[in-house]
Amino acid sequence: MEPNLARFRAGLMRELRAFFSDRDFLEVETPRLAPYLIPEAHLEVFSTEYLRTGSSVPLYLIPSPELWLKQLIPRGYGNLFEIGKCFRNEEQMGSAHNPEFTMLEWYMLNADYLQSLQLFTDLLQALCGALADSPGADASSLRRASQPIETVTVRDAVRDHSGIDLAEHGSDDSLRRAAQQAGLSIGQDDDWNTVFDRLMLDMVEPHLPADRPVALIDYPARVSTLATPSGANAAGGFPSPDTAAGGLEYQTVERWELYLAGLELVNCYSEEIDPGQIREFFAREQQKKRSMGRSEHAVPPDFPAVFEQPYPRCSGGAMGVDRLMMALTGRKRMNEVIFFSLSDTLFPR
Amino acid sequence: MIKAGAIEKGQCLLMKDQPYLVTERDFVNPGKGSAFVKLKLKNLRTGSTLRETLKTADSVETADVFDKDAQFLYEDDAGYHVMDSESYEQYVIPKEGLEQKGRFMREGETYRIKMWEQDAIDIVLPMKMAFEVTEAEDAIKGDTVTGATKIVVIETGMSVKVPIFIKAGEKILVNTETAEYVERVNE
Repeated sequence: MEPNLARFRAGLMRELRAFFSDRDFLEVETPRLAPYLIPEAHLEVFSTEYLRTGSSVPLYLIPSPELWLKQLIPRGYGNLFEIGKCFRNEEQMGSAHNPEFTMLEWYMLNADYLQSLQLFTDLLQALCGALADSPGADASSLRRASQPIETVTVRDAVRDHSGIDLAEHGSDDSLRRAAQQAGLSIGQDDDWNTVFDRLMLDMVEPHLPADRPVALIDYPARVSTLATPSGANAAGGFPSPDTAAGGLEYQTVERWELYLAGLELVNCYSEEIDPGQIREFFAREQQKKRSMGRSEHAVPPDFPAVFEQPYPRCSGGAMGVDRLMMALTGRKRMNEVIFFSLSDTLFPR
Repeated sequence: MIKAGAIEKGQCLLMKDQPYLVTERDFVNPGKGSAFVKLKLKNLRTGSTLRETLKTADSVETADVFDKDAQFLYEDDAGYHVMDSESYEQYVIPKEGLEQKGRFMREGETYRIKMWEQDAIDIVLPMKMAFEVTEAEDAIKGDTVTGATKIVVIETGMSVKVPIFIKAGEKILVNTETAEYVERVNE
């Protein structure tokens, strides 16, 4: 990393902490090593073990601090944030991936995903203002990041860029055929979620406006997450993603993802706090993990029970700090904004 | 067959029955989706570009592409006729996508060619090659503007933009990818 970028990065870390602390978020530090993890089908984990005399305990490097932070929320610390390293295994070394990366995760109590979007809007403004004169600052990148965030629903974005209305294609087969007609090469075994990912990757993301941040909001409920169904907070109803998978009705969840400078930067939800839904999510993801041949890990046995005590409505967001560095300094490769990327260490040029 | 997640830049793949060279590769992980690899590929027969997104768990076929030395015999409508320097077997390389390279090749000379199975599909030229200037106008007297250029013709019939001091009969080094003048060769 160039010295000017290292100084910019140090300033960015300082400003991130100041922003959240000034808004009454408590900074916490949680363990990187865990004996169990929240199951997420598409994440491969790093495994290690704790050696004791005569025995060993399997441990995992956390892919996100969600496991811990969600346990802290009912204990009365108020709004929380954490900045720390997270770890994701498998072939993710590329221009925007390093297996070890810095993540900012926040939880805002008594708030929904749109209030978090407002918070993030304020964060970008604050960072661009505070870092404008920093060494390593790139004026045009900062100008782009400080533009008003454009908000588009996922359904509209897919329709605008591919002509496909997700709500009209409930079955695997129907969405597959629509995507093929739109010109994508789709495998015959690809399920709804895979085709949806392909539409996003090949038809939506490359055409998102490049001159300002864009938030895609209201994701299809068929993409399995711990986000609440849209309107669940207002109506009190919880249509399960499995019903949605039947494909008759297009349902969404309260989730947004923010794109800046071509990078997927933030993922944010109105958090699911219904213990029954969380148990179902665990079962679904574990089953998928097994079917995909991912390495097995223990899951926290009492985690869903945490939500059986009084648990505040809340919104959580997670941002890749290294990617934010790329977006704010106009760099195209992550190894330019971190020290010792794993690929440079393993394969020196 | 290899997993798409193991694809490296510079590898040759067989897609839609055509040999492709991987020119760009990047991994993407949609928020809560499976991992994909985005590829930019160059068709080794036609030179055309293809963009492809694959699941990292997908299997792809590799194309058995290898190099050998061959003498360039002549060019006609069918393509560039070459002869394997060891086996004396002759091949015709289709011209599609190779037109610029063709303008740098000298009959009788030996080049690296790319083979895919039984077919010759591409010619690998050195990045820089030396050519004699066969036609050049004299520099206009008094024209001393720095960076002034003129067009000359080299021995293969190709036109190249050069600095004004280059004369007919001199040798120049040309970049075969950009077709730009590099420097004068002093012998």
